[in-house]
Amino acid sequence: MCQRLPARCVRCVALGWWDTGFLADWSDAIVAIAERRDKESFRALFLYFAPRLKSFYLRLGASDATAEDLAQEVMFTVWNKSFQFEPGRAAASTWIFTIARHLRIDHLRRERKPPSLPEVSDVPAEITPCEHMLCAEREGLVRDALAGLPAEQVNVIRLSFFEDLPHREIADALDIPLGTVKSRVRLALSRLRAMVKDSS
Amino acid sequence: MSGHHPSADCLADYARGSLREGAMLVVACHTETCERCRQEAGLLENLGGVLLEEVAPTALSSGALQRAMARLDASPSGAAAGHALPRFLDGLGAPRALADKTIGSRRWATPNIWFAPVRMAGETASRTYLVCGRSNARIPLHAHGGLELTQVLWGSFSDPSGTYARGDFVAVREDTQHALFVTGSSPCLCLIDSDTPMRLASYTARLLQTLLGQLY
Repeated sequence: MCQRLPARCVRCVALGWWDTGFLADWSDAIVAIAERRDKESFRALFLYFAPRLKSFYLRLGASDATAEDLAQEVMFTVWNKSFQFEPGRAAASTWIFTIARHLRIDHLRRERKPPSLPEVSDVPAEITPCEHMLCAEREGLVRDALAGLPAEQVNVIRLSFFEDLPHREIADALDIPLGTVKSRVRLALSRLRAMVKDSS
Repeated sequence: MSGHHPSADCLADYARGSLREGAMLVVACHTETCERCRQEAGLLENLGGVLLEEVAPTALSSGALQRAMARLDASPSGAAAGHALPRFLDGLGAPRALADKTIGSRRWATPNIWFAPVRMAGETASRTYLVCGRSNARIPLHAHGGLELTQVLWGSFSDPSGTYARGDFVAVREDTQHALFVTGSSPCLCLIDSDTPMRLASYTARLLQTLLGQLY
């Protein structure tokens, strides 16, 4: 079913798709929910994403019970808001991530950090976004680009972006200077941007 | 495309979801009209999606799937309608991101300026509101205790630091004191998220504050 881990995908295995070379995307499952309220698709999505969402919230500091509640809540939102999903415009995992991100704000009572002050310059030089690229096709490029980055850069990206550790804590955890963390994050993101742009 | 944008760090915080709720909304409104920032945030959201798929799964408690399936039948089917936007926003370019928010009734602070609160689902210490000034309206000199984020949704205004038009994102830091003027011939609508109430400098302006205070 999924292009990445067909042999480990419950739905692929269950339906024998990965064996027959049938490759679809999780997007189809969300569309099936939107159009037909398809519970089998929901079940497959749940089995794949809920355990990962639980990991996501655990890494953000939620307790085991809260992480699981939030994972349930995200999947329930996927069921209820599937009609908002635009296949082609958004990749399934990106869409689910953005739901997870919002529920985190709604429910996870963590200390909120103030937003960073926007720079005075009109267009920060470091950003050269790829124009007019659809989110869905870009996700594959991001995946490939991430695989092409050095492990140390992927590590800081994961810690700073996904696990929401402040840069200082990352510096302590990796035993490297704070400045190095910041420059690695910046370098990694700009390389990611460049790689995505080049291959688009 | 607008001329004033959130910083790269601010967009990264938005993409990760680590801004407070009202600030998330302001940045979301910005990305609706700004292709550049939408692409940048989109790239980071893709990164979030990829990392979500790559994270090692954690086993759920027993019966988790059954509980999830059991909830489905009880849920409403199909498109649940969002809150209808209030009529007073007609023709003012209200972004889609506002559609699922609850917008309170507007209060006229002066004959030329109204405020309307945007209520957030979660607990939040910040205040998020829409403010609209008619052409040539003036918001008196006021100061900010914390950080205030503004997205210009319609029209334009100017303050001593410059002129901001539809699509612009403006961040004003503590100890900034400024007065605003609505420029151009159309009304100016802004979405503002502030982590502290504004402090008005002049006596007459406190009337505005009193009215603003009643919003919450």
